[in-house]
Amino acid sequence: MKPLRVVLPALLAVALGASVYTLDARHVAVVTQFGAPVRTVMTPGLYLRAPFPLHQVRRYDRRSRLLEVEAFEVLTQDKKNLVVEVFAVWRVQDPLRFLEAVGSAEVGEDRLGDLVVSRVAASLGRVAYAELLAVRSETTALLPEGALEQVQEGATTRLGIEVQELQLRHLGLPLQNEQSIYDRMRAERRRIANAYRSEGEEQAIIIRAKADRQAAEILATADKDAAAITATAEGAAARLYAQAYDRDPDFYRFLRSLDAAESILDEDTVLVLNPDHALFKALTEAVP
Amino acid sequence: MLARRHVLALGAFLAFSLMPVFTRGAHAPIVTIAAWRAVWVALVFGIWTVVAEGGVRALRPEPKTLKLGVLYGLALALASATFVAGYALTTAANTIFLHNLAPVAAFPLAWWAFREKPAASAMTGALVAVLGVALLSGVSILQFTKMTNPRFLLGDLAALVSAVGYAAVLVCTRATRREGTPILGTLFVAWCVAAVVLVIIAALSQGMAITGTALLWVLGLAVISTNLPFWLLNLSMKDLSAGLAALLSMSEVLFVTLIGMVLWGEHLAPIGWLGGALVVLGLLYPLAVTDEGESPASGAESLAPETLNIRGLRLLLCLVLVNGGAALALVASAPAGAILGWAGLVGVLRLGPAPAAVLLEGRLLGLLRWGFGLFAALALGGLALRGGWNQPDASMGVALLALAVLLVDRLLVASEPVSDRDGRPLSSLALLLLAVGQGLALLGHSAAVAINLAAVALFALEAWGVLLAALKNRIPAQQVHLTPEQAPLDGLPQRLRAPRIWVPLAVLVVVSGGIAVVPPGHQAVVEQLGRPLDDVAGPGLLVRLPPPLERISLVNTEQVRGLSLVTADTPLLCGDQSMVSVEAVLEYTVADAHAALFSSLDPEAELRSLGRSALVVALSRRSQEEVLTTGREDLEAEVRDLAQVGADHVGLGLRVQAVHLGNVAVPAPVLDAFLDVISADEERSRVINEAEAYAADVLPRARGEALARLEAALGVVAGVEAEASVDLARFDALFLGGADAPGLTRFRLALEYQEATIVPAQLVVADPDVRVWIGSDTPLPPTGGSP
Repeated sequence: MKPLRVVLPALLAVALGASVYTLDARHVAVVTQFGAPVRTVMTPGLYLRAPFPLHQVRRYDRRSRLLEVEAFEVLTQDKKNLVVEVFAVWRVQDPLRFLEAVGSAEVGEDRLGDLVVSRVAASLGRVAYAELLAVRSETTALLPEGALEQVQEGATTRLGIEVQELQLRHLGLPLQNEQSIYDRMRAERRRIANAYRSEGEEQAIIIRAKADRQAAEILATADKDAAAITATAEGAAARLYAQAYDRDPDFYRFLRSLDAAESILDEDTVLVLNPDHALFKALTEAVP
Repeated sequence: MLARRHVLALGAFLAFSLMPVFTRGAHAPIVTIAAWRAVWVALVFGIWTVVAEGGVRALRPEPKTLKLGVLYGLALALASATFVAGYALTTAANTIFLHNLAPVAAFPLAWWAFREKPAASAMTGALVAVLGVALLSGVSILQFTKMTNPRFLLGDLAALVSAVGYAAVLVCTRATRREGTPILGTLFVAWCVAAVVLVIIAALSQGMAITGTALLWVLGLAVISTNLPFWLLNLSMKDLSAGLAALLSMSEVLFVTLIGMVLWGEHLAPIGWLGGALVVLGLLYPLAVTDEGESPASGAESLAPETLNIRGLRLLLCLVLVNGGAALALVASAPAGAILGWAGLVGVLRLGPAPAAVLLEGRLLGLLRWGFGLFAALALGGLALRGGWNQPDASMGVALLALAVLLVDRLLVASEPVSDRDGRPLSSLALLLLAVGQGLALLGHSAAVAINLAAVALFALEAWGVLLAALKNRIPAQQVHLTPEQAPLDGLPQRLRAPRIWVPLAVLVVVSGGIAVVPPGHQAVVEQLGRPLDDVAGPGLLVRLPPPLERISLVNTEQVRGLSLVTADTPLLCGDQSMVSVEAVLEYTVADAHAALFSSLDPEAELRSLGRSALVVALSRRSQEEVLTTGREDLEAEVRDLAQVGADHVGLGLRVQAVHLGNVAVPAPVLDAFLDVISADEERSRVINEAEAYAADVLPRARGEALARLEAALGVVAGVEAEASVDLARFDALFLGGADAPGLTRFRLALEYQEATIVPAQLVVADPDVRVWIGSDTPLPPTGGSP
């Protein structure tokens, strides 16, 4: 009975294989009976099931996934437009709920994306721009408190999804505002550059003026000293003259007159003398 | 050689090729033009029939004419409508090219309708001409990347259907000639049917509204390039096969190109010239060869008829493999799909020449085989170089497709006569291995890689065998399957067939799945029936139960990996609402092998986003000045800490080792302003330095001048002192010397002075009463005697 010996064990093996399944740590599963959920399996291990047409095992990856929402614009409390990119880390928490409400990870990401956009826009709408960007603030997250909780609430109850993290991965301004920021930064730099240039001129003028003044001072002092020196010398000379001539003032007067006459008379002087002049007296007296 | 029928047919296609001239002139939607053209053509043929064949009675067709005419008309409508649709949906080049595949459809259609067997020369000519048309219309293989767009696919499909429709038109023309129905009467019926169909289509899509001028243009289109050529065609096809007519129809593309060059000054690229030359060659080839296509094919038929059919089916299977594999690779991005595709290609190359040998000449067959064998080897080489294909992807589709093709192929081979059997055992073995490899990959078995590699190697061997056989060129047309001598590698699987070898081999493969070498720096996590064991195995040999009972996953816990958080072209906002461009790299290691395996689908992507977010937060708390200058290290530390907090919060099991900021700069749009500040700073220093240089110049000069003036004063002092001492010395000398006789001394001195002073002066001695006139205006006063 060869067919029986081969076919029977084969059939048995197939039947056994079809009623056993394993679930690994990466997945959670929902067992359905003709589409109707029977039970959810959350812990990994070996499980029994009814063979194929009766039971179906739908596995869902339980590992966290990254949802990157495309950039969108939000309006802050003080009506400033911001461009934000948000990401969420999520995973399937309740496979049954997930199966009923969503079905697949792609649909789940779509739904979660909508939820995230609306909640993030709402929570950023309650914050002023200046609070969001502030030097020395103590925040460790840009999204206001409560945004994550709101998304979590909606996702857990409605979609069977646990949102583990919700953060901004980019914060920017719309293109035209970005341009105005650049303009402002340019103006700021221009101010600094102009200040540097004027400061330079200022310093230079001061340094030149100081140098000029010092030079003038030095010359003036030198002139003063020189005058003092010459005055002292002349005084000393005068004193000497006075002492010397004081011995015979008449002789000095005589000698000085002679010197004066000598220096007054020169080649161009026309001297008109009386024949009676002392010079000629000897002449006239000697000739009788 | 060129006979009257060929000239008539070529004349018809020349007239057809004038179509674009009128179509461009009409300036109307192309569907509307097609409909109006059909209406005009039907009218003209009606009038023509009445005039030429004697009265209105000629319009009433016989039953045979009616039947053929309706078929003819439907074919016309099909060709016209689908051509228009293709034109609208895909590129014009694709439409023209695909439409001109008509001969490919005409040969089998003609064979089916009247058992007209094409000659080898006509087939060869068609092949060459199709290639030429491809070059002329600029269809490139690269365009198939558009395949992802369903619109183009639909358009290409429509154009292809139009080719079939056109072939049907030619076959119908041939049929009417064979049946001998009245030419004009049949054409009238056919165009009436076509007009009705096309008018309905036009009314439903673009509407029938058209201007008067356009209507005139369409009338020209109808009479000159439809009525006339159809009549000519009918005349010529009395004794011209449909297939050959289809081949001749390719001259149309040539004529259109020529008209375009003459009328509209269109330029033809060199490749286009080549295409045109090929079309001419293809057209002339069957005309030059004497058999002309009418005689039944006398190709070498070495294969038994039943083998030929089975061989055809196996070829079809290989085509399924090519397309299925490509689709799996494209849609499901399964690398193994690409391997399957190549496997199918190898199969096509190996099997293809056998059915083709019936139609092709021996020499051409050898050439074909040689070229394709080379191509297969190149393709497999490229596949091996590209890499990535040795990743066993757990793709059920690949495994199932491989298995299904393998089973059907085996069944087909079994039904071939033993003498003709070409088992392709090597390819079969490779397909089996690929299926097994995919199955093992699904189970997570570590032997999957090796088995996939073996499958690829076998495919490569097969391609190599095809190439070798072709190079030896020992494949005469009479013997189209490879003998063991020509493909020696095919004997290999026969020897492997014994269960003695297979059973231990299978056991070995299964057991090997439980053995893993954990390399240094790695940790191994064991999953027992899906449940991960808490203990993590370190480096060394690990022996566990084979899959699916236990599964081993390796994690590298030592390697430091880098992630780019942001590049310089995305400026980020700082706390003071300025922007900076930052390049940041985050380095991390795996801290917890369990978490790294089971907590996240893509831990790296999540960490990248978390790190980016940390950077955005940290920047939002700092001023730009701080980021650009002193705050870098502080910023790096903060980003690292924030990213670690995020990673721990999600439970990634990763440790952020460091964050490095690369180039930190101002964004490009404001860079020049920042550079200007630097140059302003430089300028400040320069101006100050110049002033200091001036000061350094002026002050020493002043000091020198001062010294000079003092020295001058001292000089004056010396002069005064010297003069005084001279004066005093003289006085002393005179005073002391003349002290004994003071009066006499005075007298002497007075006289000496008088001598000295009077001598140089002009002396006038005059009496006091005399008035002396010396020349000045006023007379001198009388001088008094002195001293």
